[in-house]
Amino acid sequence: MKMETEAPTDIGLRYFGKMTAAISHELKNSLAIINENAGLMEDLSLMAKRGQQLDPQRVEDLSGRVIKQVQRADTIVKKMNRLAHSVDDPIKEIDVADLLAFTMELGKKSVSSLGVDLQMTPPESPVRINANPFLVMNLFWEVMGYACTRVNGAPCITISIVRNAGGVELVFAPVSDAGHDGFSFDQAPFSGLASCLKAEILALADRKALVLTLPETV
Amino acid sequence: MRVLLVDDEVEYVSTLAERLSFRGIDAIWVSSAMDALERIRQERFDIAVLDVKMPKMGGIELKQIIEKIHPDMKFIYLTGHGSEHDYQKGVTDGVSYLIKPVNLDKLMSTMNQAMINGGS
Repeated sequence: MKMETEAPTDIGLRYFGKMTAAISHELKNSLAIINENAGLMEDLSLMAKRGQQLDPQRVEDLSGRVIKQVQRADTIVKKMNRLAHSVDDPIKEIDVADLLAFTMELGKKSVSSLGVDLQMTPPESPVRINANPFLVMNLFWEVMGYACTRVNGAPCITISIVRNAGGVELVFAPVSDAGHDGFSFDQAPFSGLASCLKAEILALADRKALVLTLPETV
Repeated sequence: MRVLLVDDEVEYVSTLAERLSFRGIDAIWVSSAMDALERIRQERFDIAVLDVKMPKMGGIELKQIIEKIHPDMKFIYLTGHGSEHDYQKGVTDGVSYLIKPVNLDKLMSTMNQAMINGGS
């Protein structure tokens, strides 16, 4: 079945929404841990008032847990801030490995719920391109999402970053349809974003790989 | 009451279990759906509190499997931040859907209610 092409603004808003929802979920988890640890300290304090011995080490451990969660929440907020500012510049110099790592980190929970791990093989030296950071992240995410639903039982997808003559190639592998060695690939869902970024996506069924090519300058 | 708490946030679920145990509830915790299924096959629980979003298998799918093993078990969904879809799924399944951070008294009253009314 041929899928429809979606406008980059729609696909971008959907991506932004999905990532901010994932961030809010993570923040809620952090708050819940702080809440339970505060509650446990209250419980222990009430028990101490009734004569039960309170181990100072226990209190120290619990406050350490709270501090750890505050640091975790701070990191989450920093990620949210970076995502928010990714729309600031229409064109910016991008370190491809750094931006891919950030995109993977943001989408980690969503990907892990599919039972797939993502790994990156970085280039030997940093590869930089000039493009819109938000659109690049959005395209990374869409290709990742496509690949993660076509692992055919493989537990992990590796994304290798390779410099080429005109820019950079990202190779996603293994990718294949269930019960087949190869896979059918429809460009349509990616075409709006790919066209904005002058990107190309090539399906290499024999190598069970999807290759995303981005030019050095859009 | 014997409760199985399933959540991939280990610090959260272990602390919750300890606090419930102070209140006389026999609470066992695991941090994945796979571990939950292992415990369910070995032991009997009255109720399971399931995190909706977990790696590999979430609470909604886990509930369907547990129900086949122990049709009488009761359930409560717990999540960090539910989507409308997840909430509606909870409503459709007739399962209480609590949002973290949850008040412990509220969790306990919801568990008691589920034991009385079914909750599944």
